[in-house]
Amino acid sequence: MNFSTAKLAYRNLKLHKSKTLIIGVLITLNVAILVIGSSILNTLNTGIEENYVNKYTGSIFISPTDNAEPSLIMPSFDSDGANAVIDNYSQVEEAVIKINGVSDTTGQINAAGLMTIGENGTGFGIFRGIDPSDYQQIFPEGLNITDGSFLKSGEEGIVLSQYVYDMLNSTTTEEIKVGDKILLTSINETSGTKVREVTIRGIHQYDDDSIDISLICFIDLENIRALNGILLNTETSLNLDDNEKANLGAFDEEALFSSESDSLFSDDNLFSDSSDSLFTTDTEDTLDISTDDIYNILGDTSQRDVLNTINEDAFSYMLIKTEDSANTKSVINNLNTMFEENGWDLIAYEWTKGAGMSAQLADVISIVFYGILALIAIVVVIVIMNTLVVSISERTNEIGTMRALGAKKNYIKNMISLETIFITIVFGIIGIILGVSILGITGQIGIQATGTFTKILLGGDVFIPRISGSSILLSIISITIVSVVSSLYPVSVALRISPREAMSK
Amino acid sequence: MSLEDTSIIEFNNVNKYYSLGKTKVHAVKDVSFSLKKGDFVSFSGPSGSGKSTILNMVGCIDTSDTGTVIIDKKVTNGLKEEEITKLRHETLGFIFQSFNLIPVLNIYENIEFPLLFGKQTEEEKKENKEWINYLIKTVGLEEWREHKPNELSGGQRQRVAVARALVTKPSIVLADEPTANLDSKSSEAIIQLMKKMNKNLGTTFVFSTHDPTIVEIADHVITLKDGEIVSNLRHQQ
Repeated sequence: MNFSTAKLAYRNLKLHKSKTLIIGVLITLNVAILVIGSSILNTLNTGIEENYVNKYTGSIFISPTDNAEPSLIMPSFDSDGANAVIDNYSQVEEAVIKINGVSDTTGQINAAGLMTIGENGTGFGIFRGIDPSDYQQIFPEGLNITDGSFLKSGEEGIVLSQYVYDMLNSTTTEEIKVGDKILLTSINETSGTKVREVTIRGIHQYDDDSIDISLICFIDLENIRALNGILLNTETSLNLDDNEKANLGAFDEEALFSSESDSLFSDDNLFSDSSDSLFTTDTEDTLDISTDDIYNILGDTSQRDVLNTINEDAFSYMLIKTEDSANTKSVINNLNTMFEENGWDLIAYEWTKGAGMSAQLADVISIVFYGILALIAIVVVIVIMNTLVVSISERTNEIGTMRALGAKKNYIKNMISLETIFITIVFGIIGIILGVSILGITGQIGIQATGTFTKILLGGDVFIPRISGSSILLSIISITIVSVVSSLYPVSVALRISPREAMSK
Repeated sequence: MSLEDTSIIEFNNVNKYYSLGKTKVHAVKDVSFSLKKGDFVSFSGPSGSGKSTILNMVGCIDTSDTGTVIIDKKVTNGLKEEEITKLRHETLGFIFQSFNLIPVLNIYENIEFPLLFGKQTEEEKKENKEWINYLIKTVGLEEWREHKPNELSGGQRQRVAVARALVTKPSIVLADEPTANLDSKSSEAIIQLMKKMNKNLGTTFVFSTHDPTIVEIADHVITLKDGEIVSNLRHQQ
């Protein structure tokens, strides 16, 4: 390729103005759409990320491995339907805070349930169990208390969201006030139905109108653990030795409770008339059983008491803020390596994994947008390809002459490729300028969000898109690919032209 | 010097077939001839007689199905694509019926164009520039050197084509009906120009033509009919 080839390519484009213009306009529009769309998406994603990371999720969260569907918004269960928890939280936190790049942590327990207040007041909400001081330290921007106050350390109670408060108020005759008691009921597949009465300490409101976020009510840790049935009733807490574990398996339900006459608790054994039954029906004999005898029969209950104690070192998740969001992925890798080394069944995720529907909606929109762009790109490739093929067939005689005069195939290939490169560069730059100008104007006036859905997407009432360098780079890369792909077939058509074409005309 | 020693183009029992739908056309039938270096040769005959096919085989644009074609002592049958391109560039010059100038290049650039396909030293570039200027002067287009082909008459365009065909100093110039698209005055001028170049430079000119003027002044006239040579006459110099 030399200067003369470039000169020839440039002049050919000038000569075939209309075709150059058709291809150019397509490239310009494609690049402009890409710059605008990609910048808007980047702004959306950055906005959503900043919003979520700073207010709700942190950059990273740690979840038990057996948590089937980790969600920082909704309750979390393992594959057996039990609450999935990090039950050695303090130990994990101590290790996590030492990882390079981790700036702060806080624990969180999720639940969902019904609420009852007064005579008729009913509603439902998502309960977020937190340590108030830790939580406020890590998410200072996330809380907007409209009435009462936020929870204090060690204080029982609930801070209702404005949405839940309005819901409850609409069903009761008396206005609900801070300080009122409210009944919370949670239903869990393994721990059953749990009911707790708590005090309303305050009302809060998030800026985000999305339904999942607006249902979040903050609750103290003791109550949320009770509602979720997070107790010390695990094998680890009991520290059973092998012999005890083996004995546990020695009886099955059939042997203990079947109606067969030889089962331990069969009616025959318990209430038969024979003198050796456990509870004889002979009224003439006086039962001489003291409290001590009953305790002796029941045996030592201290283990059971331990089992029913709330596990104060258990959380559903650990939320982590990083020093620099750019390092999030490496911090996640380091955390997961540490969990593996320690044999902890935990996994660290990026915030998006548990961020709920609004955050994931942005991902869906990105996929749809890039899908549409891919389709547009295919159409553009086809149109450019077609226009180039038409242009080449009109120049058959010229290309045939070049071949007859001694031009190698490479020369023809370079000439056609250069024509495509010129169009791409010139109209690509025009497209970038157009896209940046439109974004600049939009940035000055802002895009007004009209509905709730749009507000969620745009992260507020007015959306101001930011021009991003990565969008421009993406446009350049994609249009280069488009131009290379679209010139492949026309080049092959040009290379098939024989010098005979020149001789025959 | 024997005839073989001065021969620049040789056809030995050459046959060429074309497929026309399901029919196989025998376009060139067992043709043999030899052309001398520096000759002004005319292939004449009615349409479909095979003269363009023979010219294409001389120009390495087509290959024979049987027989051998030798151009400047090189057997062209079985040459690779790159060798053919090199032979075309170094040994052959082309003049087309429709002139086939590159529309986006001016007259100087059009004439210079074939030189761009080969490597040139700075010294060669300088020599070539002088050579192009000489050719432009010889074809009488000094005032038009900066003009584009569409600003020139048919006769002027064909003169540019003649200069372009000679720019690489080829041994052979092939001209396929060079006067077919020109008026009689322009035709006469072009024929005289080519004859002059033939004499001055010693370049072999091979025509396929119906033009009786070319046939009249040619040194060697081969007449074809239905793919066969019906007469092969060399005029006495």
